[in-house]
Amino acid sequence: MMHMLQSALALLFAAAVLYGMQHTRPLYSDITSPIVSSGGMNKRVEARAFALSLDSARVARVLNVETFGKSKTYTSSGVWGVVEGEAEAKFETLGLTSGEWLSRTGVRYVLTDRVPATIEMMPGDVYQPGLPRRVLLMFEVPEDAVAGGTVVVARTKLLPLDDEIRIATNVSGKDIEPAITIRRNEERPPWTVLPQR
Amino acid sequence: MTELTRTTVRQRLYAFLIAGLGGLAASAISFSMTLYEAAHPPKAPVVQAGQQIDTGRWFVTLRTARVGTVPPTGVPPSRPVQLLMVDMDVVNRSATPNNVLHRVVTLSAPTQKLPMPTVYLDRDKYLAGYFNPNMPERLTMAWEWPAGVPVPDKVTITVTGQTYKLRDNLYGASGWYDRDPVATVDLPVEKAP
Repeated sequence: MMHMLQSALALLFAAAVLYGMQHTRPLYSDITSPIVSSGGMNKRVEARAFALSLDSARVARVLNVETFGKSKTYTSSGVWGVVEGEAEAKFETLGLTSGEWLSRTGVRYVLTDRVPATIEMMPGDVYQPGLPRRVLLMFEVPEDAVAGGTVVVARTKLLPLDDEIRIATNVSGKDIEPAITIRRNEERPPWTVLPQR
Repeated sequence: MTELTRTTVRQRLYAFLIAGLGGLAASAISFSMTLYEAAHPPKAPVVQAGQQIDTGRWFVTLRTARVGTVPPTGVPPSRPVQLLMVDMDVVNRSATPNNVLHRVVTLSAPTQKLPMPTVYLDRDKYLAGYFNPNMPERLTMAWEWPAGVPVPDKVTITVTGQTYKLRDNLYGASGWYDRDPVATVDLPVEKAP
């Protein structure tokens, strides 16, 4: 009798352990998640391979793009986020091809692909070690995803366990400008964000 | 302590037989159920144009269909083609941007398989890229209609559902997977002059 009780208890214990393990095992995306370095605005955040600082994050209802004498207006069902900063490679030349706006609720918005490539956004550039370079990121997000948003930058979306920099923006979602114009410049920096502030 | 009883060869044989036959029966039943389901796919409900369809990952509202030679960009292609264009509203309900709508909205073409459609964003009158989560957009999907095939007065659009799996069976990674059609919509084809 004692023996049977022992066996039953052992069986129950094993089942409980297995159940617990099944329900607490990490997600695949957690196991292969990038190595995150976090920071705030106007601070240089260092990852292993590159560094990034953001100094301006603005939000507007309408985005005007002026390139080569042509102007086009981009409307949205949400708002436009325009973020500027400076990026620098540390040891080798690299590209920064992945930029995302991570909302407070965990929804991701990638860099807009509506704006023509004549406006050089972050993925279009090459970053050399020791030569910091201005970066421009533009996102299209719903209005409720603005406040508490985080800019996430990585070399590529495809390399698991690579570097990733997350910078919490300071936008409140209240000071939304009616329109922002991005103008292509012929000299450095390659764009101007208007109206200047 | 109970005395351990030794099973006879006959008993063991029976146990093996029962377990084997049971397993065989289970696989036979499961296989024939799969065959039956594949042979009798569930009928997707017919939905009216203008009614929102929930596919799991998307909200899709089909509006109108028309045939023409000029895509929504306003620039006619260098080699004249007939385009079957379908206007619709979509909302991406997942947590990441996505642009694989051609697997969700398919045209039940009367004769042959059509090439992949081109998606135009109405806002820009230009090629659409990613559709961001929770941002409703109106778009036009344009299929190149094969030359020499008459365009029917009515087309049937099939809308396929997608389901979210937190852990897939291979890696344990999360993702969206195509499921059965959730709706079909009949759209009259307007013929532009």
